[in-house]
Amino acid sequence: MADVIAFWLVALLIAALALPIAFTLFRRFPDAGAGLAFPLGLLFAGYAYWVLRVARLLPVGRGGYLLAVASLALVSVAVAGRDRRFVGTLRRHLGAIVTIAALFTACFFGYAWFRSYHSDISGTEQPMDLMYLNATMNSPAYPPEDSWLAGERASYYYFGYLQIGMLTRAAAVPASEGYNLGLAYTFAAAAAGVASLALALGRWVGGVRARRWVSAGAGGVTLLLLGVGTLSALFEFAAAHGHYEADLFGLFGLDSLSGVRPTSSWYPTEFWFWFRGTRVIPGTITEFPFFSFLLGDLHPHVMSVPLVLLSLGASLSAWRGRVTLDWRTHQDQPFVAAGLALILGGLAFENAWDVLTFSAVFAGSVLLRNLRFGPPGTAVRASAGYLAPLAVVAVLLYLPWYADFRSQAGGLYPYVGAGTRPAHAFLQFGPVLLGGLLAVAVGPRIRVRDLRKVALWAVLVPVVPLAAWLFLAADHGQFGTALADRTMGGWVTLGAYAATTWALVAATMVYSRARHAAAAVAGLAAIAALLLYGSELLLVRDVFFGSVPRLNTVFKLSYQAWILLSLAGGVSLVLVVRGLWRTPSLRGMLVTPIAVTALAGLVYPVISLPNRTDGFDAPETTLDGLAFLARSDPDEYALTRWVQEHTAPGERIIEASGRAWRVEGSERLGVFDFNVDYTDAGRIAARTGRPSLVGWYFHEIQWRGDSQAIRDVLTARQDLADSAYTARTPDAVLAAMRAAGARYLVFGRVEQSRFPAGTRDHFDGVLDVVFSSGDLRVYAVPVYEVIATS
Amino acid sequence: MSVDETSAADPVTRPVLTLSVKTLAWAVAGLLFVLLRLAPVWQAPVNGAEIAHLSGAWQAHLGAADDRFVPTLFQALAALSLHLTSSPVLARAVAFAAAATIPGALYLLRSRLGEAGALVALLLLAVDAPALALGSQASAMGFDLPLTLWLFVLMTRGTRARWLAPVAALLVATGGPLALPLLFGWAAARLWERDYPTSRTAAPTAVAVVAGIVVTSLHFGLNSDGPIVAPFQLFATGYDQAWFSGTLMDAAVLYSWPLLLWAAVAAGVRIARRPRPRLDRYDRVLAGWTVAAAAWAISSSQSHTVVPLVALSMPLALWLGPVGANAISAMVKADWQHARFLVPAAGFTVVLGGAIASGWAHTGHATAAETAFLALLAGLSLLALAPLAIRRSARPALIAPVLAVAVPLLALAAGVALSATDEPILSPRVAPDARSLRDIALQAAGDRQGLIVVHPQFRADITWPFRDSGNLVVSSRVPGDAIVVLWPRELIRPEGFVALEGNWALTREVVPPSPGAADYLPYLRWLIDRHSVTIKPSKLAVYIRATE
Repeated sequence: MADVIAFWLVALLIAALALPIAFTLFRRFPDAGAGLAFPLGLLFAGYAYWVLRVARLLPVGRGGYLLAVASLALVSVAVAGRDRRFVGTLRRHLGAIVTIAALFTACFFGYAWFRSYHSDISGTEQPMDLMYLNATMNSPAYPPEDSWLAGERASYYYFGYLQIGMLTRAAAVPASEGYNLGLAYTFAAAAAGVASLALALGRWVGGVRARRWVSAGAGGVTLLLLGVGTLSALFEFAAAHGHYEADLFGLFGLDSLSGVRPTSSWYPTEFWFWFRGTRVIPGTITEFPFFSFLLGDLHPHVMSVPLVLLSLGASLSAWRGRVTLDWRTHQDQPFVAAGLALILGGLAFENAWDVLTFSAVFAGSVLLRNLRFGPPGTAVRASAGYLAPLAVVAVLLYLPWYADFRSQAGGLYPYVGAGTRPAHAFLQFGPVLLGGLLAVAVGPRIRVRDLRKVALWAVLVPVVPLAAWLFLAADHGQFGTALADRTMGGWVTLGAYAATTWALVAATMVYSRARHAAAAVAGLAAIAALLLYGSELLLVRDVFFGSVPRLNTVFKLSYQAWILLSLAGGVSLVLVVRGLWRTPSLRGMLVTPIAVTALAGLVYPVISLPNRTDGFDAPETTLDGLAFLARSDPDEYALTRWVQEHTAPGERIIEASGRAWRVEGSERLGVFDFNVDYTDAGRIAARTGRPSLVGWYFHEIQWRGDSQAIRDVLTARQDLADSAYTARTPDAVLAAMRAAGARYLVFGRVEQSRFPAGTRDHFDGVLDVVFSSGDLRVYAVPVYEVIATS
Repeated sequence: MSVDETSAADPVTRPVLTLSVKTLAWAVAGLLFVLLRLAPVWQAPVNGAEIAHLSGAWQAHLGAADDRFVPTLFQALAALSLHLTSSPVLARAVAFAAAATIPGALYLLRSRLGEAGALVALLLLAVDAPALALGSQASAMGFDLPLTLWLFVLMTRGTRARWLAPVAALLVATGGPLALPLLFGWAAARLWERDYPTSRTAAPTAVAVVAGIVVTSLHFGLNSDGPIVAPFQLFATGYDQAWFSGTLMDAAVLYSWPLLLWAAVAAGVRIARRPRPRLDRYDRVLAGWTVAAAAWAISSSQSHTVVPLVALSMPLALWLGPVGANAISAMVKADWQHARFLVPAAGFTVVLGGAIASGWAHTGHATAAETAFLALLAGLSLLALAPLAIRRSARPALIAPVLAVAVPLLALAAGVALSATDEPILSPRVAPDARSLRDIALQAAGDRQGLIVVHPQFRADITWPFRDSGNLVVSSRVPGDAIVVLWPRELIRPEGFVALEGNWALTREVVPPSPGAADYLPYLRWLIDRHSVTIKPSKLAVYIRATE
């Protein structure tokens, strides 16, 4: 419990330190940006740590992290000192700040409690996440070393891991607990952030009179973002209770649920049934925030949610201002510009998929603002003058990362396939998409003559991607196939998305012309609709191109859309319901099915939470992600702990590549199972941060690109690591270790299971046994060194 | 020292030197400060961070790269001193000489702290056990205490000498971490006040900082391993290395509780005071300094170091100096009509309870009923003081029992000043017989023309006690030409070797008593009998090749 409280206190402290900066950037928000202070503080402190480590001015370890936090404190004092309204802002918003802190606290401890029922860091890609967390925390050199490819720098967007590592180290919590507490932090920071945005949007659109509705609605928006799931859960529930109706389920494309075994419990008990909720649309992953936190993978797209919300706050703040933004603005407010560049640049470093979308949101906000104060030509020029320096600084600030990062984006391609069935789209996005549609009704009534003025311009928005799709398809010689392969259902979904996009864009333009705050809500919903629509037409080519080409595109863009829709949709729903409450109308009753659909999204968490936690029934609860190992294999756990405590950070180790070997003909050893990804290969490096020769083969390819050269490197490393275990002579063992530059060789459970018996028989003669527990060992190259003392 | 010359009243007309009370007080306090630090220079075993840093300095003086050499100016001077003598005394004397200037710094702060306040602050610093231990060590932070206090003087009094700021910046950049909280407080105060440095002052200061970083990065010409910011490096190292056998929390509970208690009482009184006094620059710097040092100490509570406690004791002493002086003055002026009976009565009850408890402490056992009896006595003593709290005029008399905790503070300081061998704050320390072991090993190896072999486990500990011993072999296996082998006890005896009888050790660790509300007896026992500590058993076995 002490670790949880320490972690929570550090998170609160960093957010408190960032309050003066939040006040400067988000003064117009009802909470003065307190809800966004969590990612803001962590971003500033994390950046300070990263850039000073890269410059080699900060030392490795906890002290380095604390010095970075101290630098945030000084920046904060400087900002507060320059802000003559700081004390007044603090006094005026104290109630809101305390409320936000209470929301953060409740969400943090609530999630930590939930996670304590299934804290294991194992399965899916969690070992990979732990590896990156440990790598950023332990790497003696910066940019950090990839613990699964010793000697090479990490080629991934690892900023989120660095920030969670900062909280973990500053609170003196072990990484295996920091991982789970990092999830709790992300959940709570996202809740605080989205509540802050919802308060702002609600207040701006609904006015001061809507204060009570907006305050309650902020909670609803938080629930919509973090607590709602897909509608497939309704069918899971029905199927689990023996109510499988072939026709109905077939209509929604859920025929696969016919095999669900009925349960006697009130909730479905089939192992991980909720996982299917993200695989509803074939050939894609359609994850959403609640699922992410249910699953517990500490992935970049999860950790980036608070930062995305922060960037949305920056966008709303930019949109809300009262003077034109141009290059001269930066002269007047250089520190604000630096802060914005840090936020926007950080998007790429934290989750590269986010940078284009949310930078575009920011750019759009600036343009919409400037359009309020001048003719379009002037507004565009002023916006470009404002945005270009920001973009340059945003890249320059993170230049060392770009130097190491190898993007796997292989260009924009047309999607050629069946498309998404309408039923699937409804099941997947219904709870948030329908709410988003209400954005067309959240502002003043749209008259036909106003619509006429913008209708054609608004059409351009869905037409341009369509034209791009057709052009790219023709360019790739797939024009006919692209048209033919899309099913009727696919066309219907595409049409529905296009119409939704058009309607929301048109509403945005009408509201903008009327200078009504509803433009922001409709704009956010329009971008979300555009993301869903765009992912039906285009895809970013990556390593999955040959098998499931649009997997990542739909995955990442629909995740962003969910965030935007839950915010815009939630605010719209609350304000529309408020309007109906005040002046009931029959037409308003149309809101009922939308609200019911949103509420139906709550079935998913209600039935998945007990499934994930075995009915909240565990003999003991813990947040230590390696406690499962201590229970199931104490020797392996002791070995892991020994490596962590007795080897220096950066000390290279040899552990088996994870490939399985057996004796083949003529006593020769041969590999019979090459699969290492998603297994316990590289587990010592992942759990300790000590670099090993090679980890998950295919993941390295995902991070570094699929080329013969990288495949050769990885295979050579696998061979080298395994040669230490397959060597027949002591000299060969030593030669392998010297070639690897490793001092330690691990013989744990993985090595025991991947190599034939008797593998380590000759180790004792040539290597020192530095650790032993049961039949597991850690060996070290013998030391012999002459030291002069005079 | 100021000397008044009076001759008019002298009937013999001979000039007579008279000392004012103030001068005398300063002389006594300064002397106390210096004398308390003098004995450890010669007597104290090499201990704490000193073991690592002297080892690093030794290696550096040999020209060997070593992680333990953290390139502060003091470390460089320590390495230089080892060219002249292999004893730590010269390096310690340098640290002592620097520390001896601290009374001067406090003297210059009189204008701000008041005469009595500065004196009390000096006395508090003089008897602060962690500051005493660190101040007489030849660790890499040897200059930190005086440097920090002189920096504060410079910040407070200001100066017209423009060269001072760059010099100070250079010293900070080549110093340890103790000045960091002060710099934080100073920077925060100036940023809050929008008092930004002009380019005329900032440029030479920045150049000096860069020069300092360059010099430390080049290890003062001894080595080079990329950029090193020495204060940051030592700040971070304090979290990971064992510079003290217990945790900082242990040290605070053992040694710093009187200071922390006074600070808590003073803070409470200040917070309760209405109207709140306005803060000026001095107060802001001191507040920022205290907050930063407190944050450092809190974050290090489970680390094996006392350095953050020293960092905290400096601003606390400067806070408590004037507060203490005012408190004593108020106490003297209090209405003692009832207090003259009640305070001694409460004191008697406490002494009685202490006497009874000390008996239990010797046996190490107290029943629940006996503990309850002690609690009853404590309650009675509080009850005796309660009437004083009601009468406004008598309330300042309550300061007397608060000041009474100075008694254990003095006792704690005395233990360190006299370099008591079992003092936990001086642990770990180089074992007294380690040098004898070295002589035995050298003789045996010399006589039989063989090697002295040390297990890698003792690689770090061997450097200082075995300095100036020719070549040693660090090996995980016993080579054929080994004559003397220093080996872990838990490993089996090498074949062909016989054990050298004795409880050999390279370093010794004193296990500090860990007091708690439920288990107060070990602490009480330690307070009344400072030799009642546990010494950790040695892990070292010494083997000598058997003669044929």
